[in-house]
Amino acid sequence: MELTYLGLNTLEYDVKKCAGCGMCVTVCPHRIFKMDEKKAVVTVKEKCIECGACAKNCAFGAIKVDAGPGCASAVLLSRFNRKNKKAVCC
Amino acid sequence: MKTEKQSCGCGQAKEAQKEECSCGGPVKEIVKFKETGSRWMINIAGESIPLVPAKLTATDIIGNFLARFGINRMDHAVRPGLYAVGRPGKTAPVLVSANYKMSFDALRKELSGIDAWILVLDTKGVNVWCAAGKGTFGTQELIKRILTVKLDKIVTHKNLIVPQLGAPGIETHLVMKHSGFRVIYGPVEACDIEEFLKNGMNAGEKERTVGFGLWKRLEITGIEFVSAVEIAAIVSLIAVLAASFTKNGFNVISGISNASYFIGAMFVAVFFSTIIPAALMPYLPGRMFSVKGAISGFAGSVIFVLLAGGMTRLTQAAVIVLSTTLASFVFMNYTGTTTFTSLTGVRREIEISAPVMIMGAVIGTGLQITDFIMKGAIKWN
Repeated sequence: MELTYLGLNTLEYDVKKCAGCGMCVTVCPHRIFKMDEKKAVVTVKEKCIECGACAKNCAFGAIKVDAGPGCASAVLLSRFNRKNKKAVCC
Repeated sequence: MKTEKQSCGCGQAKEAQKEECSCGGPVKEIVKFKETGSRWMINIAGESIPLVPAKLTATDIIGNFLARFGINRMDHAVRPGLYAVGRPGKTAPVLVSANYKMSFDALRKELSGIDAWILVLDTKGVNVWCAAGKGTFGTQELIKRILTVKLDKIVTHKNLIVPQLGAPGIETHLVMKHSGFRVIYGPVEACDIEEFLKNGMNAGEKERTVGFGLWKRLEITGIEFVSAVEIAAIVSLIAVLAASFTKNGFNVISGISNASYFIGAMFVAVFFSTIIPAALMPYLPGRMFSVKGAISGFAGSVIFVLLAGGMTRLTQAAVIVLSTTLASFVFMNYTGTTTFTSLTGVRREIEISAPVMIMGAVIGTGLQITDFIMKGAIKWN
């Protein structure tokens, strides 16, 4: 069963910088990249969870994403817990 | 690294000044590592490498089970370094893992009949995916660990098999540049390693996709369940105390009796905010977790109200509103354990849901207090 969330994310991909190495295709845990004529293309952007794997593994800086955990308690705790900068999850 | 990463979260690293995440205690240095069950050492290139079995002992299994429920979870770590499985030689594959004991065990138990090296990174006892997000399962630590264990002397090849879920922390090109080792991403799940090695280090689409099946969803509800029980216990205690201020003075017995429906409802809410919605997640309507949780909590409390019987309309209303709100809140926090939520999406969900939840909590508490007063539990004049 396909699970989908709200489809909101900060993924930005600049095809002009793509060198066609295919690392993004390999690392994406939701398989949203695929190779098309020696360039990577984004297929289902809505499925991006902002894990940051593609951006981190792109040696050519073609991918930008504001990576972070899709975790409500993390967002809430950071809002209420400004003092404890070391607050962490899992 | 260019940017100073804030050590954080369930998922991913946050750059300084941004919101940092949390789901547990702060990152701490683990002093006492768990035994890995190694009784023999392999001597290779002048180094002594502990040999670990590809089979888990009862102690391993019990420890991992308890960690699922938050027991000793923060100390569930193995010593970082190099380990051997089987009889690895200079050409054996090198598999990279985190030092969360459950991650390490999940890997080695899939390696029976395989000769391999396991390079355990110091992720402060956190699993691969979460540590990759924090940056502890990261480029720097990987390079450092390769040098510390003198990997270039132990193996003659230059390949490292890194779990695909570690990719959010690893810059492949920088690892190559600074250590000479080539990162090859392995499958998502350790159980597909054998197939991966057989296929000349190739993983299929299925092995590269993160799933979230029924078993996985239930496996990770342990922590949520324990924390929901804690919340419910505290709320129940407050309710008992509030209901103990009777007309005839402070009386805990009548407090318990007055709050009994409320306590029952709280624990119904625990089930209907954790295990039930986790299992039924794909079938519950709504995309937001708070909506799914609210529906589940509402259904649970209605069933409770119908089965318990003998409640006044006011008690029923209080029970339903509070359980629905609690379930909505608890299940919203389940977003952090799932594999398909994004931070941007979660922020939006909180924006929409938080005001409704606060309203629910205020109305529910109001109804409950009125109910206690009507029952004569609380002295109010």
